[in-house]
Amino acid sequence: MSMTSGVFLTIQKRTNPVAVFLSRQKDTRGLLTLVVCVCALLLGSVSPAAAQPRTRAQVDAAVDERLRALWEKFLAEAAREAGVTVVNRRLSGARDAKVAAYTKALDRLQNDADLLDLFTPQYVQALVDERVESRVPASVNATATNPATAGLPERSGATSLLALAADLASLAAADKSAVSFNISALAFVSLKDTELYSEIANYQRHSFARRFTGTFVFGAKIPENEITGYSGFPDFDRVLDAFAWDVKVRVWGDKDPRSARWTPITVRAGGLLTQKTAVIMSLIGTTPGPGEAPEQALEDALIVQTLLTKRLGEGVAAIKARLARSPQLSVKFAGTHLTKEAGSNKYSGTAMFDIGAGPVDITANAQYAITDDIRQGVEQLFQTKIWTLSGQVTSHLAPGVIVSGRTLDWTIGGSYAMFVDTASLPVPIKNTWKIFTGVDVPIGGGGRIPVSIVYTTDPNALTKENYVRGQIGLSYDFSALKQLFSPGS
Amino acid sequence: MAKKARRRTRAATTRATMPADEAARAAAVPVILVPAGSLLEVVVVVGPMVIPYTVAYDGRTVIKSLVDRAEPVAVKSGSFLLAWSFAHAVKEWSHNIGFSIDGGPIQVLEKRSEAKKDPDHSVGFALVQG
Repeated sequence: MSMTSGVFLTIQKRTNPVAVFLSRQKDTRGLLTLVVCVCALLLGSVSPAAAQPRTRAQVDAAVDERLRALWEKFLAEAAREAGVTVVNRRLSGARDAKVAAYTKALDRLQNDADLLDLFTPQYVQALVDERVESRVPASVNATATNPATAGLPERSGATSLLALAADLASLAAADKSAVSFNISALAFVSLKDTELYSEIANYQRHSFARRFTGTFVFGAKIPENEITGYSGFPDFDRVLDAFAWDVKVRVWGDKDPRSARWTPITVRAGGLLTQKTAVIMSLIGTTPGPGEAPEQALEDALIVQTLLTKRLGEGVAAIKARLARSPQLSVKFAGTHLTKEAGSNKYSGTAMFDIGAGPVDITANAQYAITDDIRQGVEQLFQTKIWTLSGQVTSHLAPGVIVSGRTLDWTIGGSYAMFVDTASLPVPIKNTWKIFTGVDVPIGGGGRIPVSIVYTTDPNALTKENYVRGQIGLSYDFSALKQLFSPGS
Repeated sequence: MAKKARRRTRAATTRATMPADEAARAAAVPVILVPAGSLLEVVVVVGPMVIPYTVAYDGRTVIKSLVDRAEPVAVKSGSFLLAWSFAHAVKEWSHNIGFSIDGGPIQVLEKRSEAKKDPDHSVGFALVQG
């Protein structure tokens, strides 16, 4: 496993301009950098605009020119080493030798990191700030804040703008009547904008507002144990009408690829990747040789297309992996209020943390909740205070094996609910914990088949499982299988 | 009759030297014929993007952008490649690239989206004959 990872990293570093960019960031620190910068400034002052292109078109032209020169040089070298010749900007020789020569030339081109230096901060900002004439609507769906699942790990991400939770099945544990509105603070500021910018520019202009999101859930019917956090009471599954709300604030990190912190990787290094790819692709000759059919003359272009597509895919994967590795911490404050019974309220504060490590996503939550309990009457109201620690690890396995472009997700996790000062409570209460594991199997048509198993010290918490034996519950949902037989799947 | 025979010979030669899948891809490469004096315009429509896409013609960047663009191409005499490269890292991505000659109807060269479960990156090309 470690050997495989090592090989993968080596390949990434060798061929990936994003990795080259990241490694250069480390290499260029220190006194030497300072000296070089000072020299560059002095040189810049004595030889003005001559060396440095100013406009986007000039920068693009300079990059194109350098790419062309490097490509011609590297291709000639690689062709010589592979025993083939360059004729009309394509290779003449056996197919395998051509593939070897093009591979070698592209490898050498990938390692030329100086190209990145041509992209000035002004150039990158101009790309971000470019106006757009039309705009694709943002998401209209979002995962809802569900008071019934407060003990499960929740991701730290935020709603884009305003979303209605369309998947009502996941909204409330007891029935499907609730409606949830997720709203971002951005909804209150971006409406003032009459000009339309790119998606990335809009995000960066309102990065502070993006930190705040909230949810309102109306008409939820929630079992009592989901509010109190304990199912040891005789009527733990009594369903109560409730209204719930929450406010989530992202306090550390930003995993959103539109964030300004990722611009050097996405717009700058990623932009070089696509420019390099398209320019090199367009440089391949298509003139038929003597006795060649026009289709044969496209052989070189098709070989290079395959090689470039693979490299572009590796570059995008490296960008996504970098984003996934970044940590993010959010804090959520929430309340649940019974609408038909007096006195019973629940308030909670939750810290949510996400981080990625290779093909693994880690989510951890820590929640402190205070609930007014009226089971002994409003006049004998008492409070339960509970800490709930939960976490889960999700591995994305077998990419593309079952369904192209998708993974089999394996999750393992657990939670521990710990009551504070149980001795002072008028009713006996025990701490509970559970561990769970599950797989999400992708199927055609975009569906998934989830299967999970849970073990808990609180058997009453298993009422929602499909199959229960003692303290173990099994849950599954094969309804997505019907997508396999639906037209267009 | 003679024309038909020559076409057969060409196909047979292609099959003999190119892998079958590559021969099929070669046959599917779009060819854009641009009459002398006509204007070739490339049109790109995209959804949310964070990695700029690039369209290049004969080693020159025609468009590099994060948003919708339509740009004319300075077509040269002869056969050269119009190439494009898209890479996506945000949800709900999509891209369409097409061309128009002299302001005529747009012909689609490539249309991809996350909704259709397409790969998040693509490299394509068309043969422009000016």
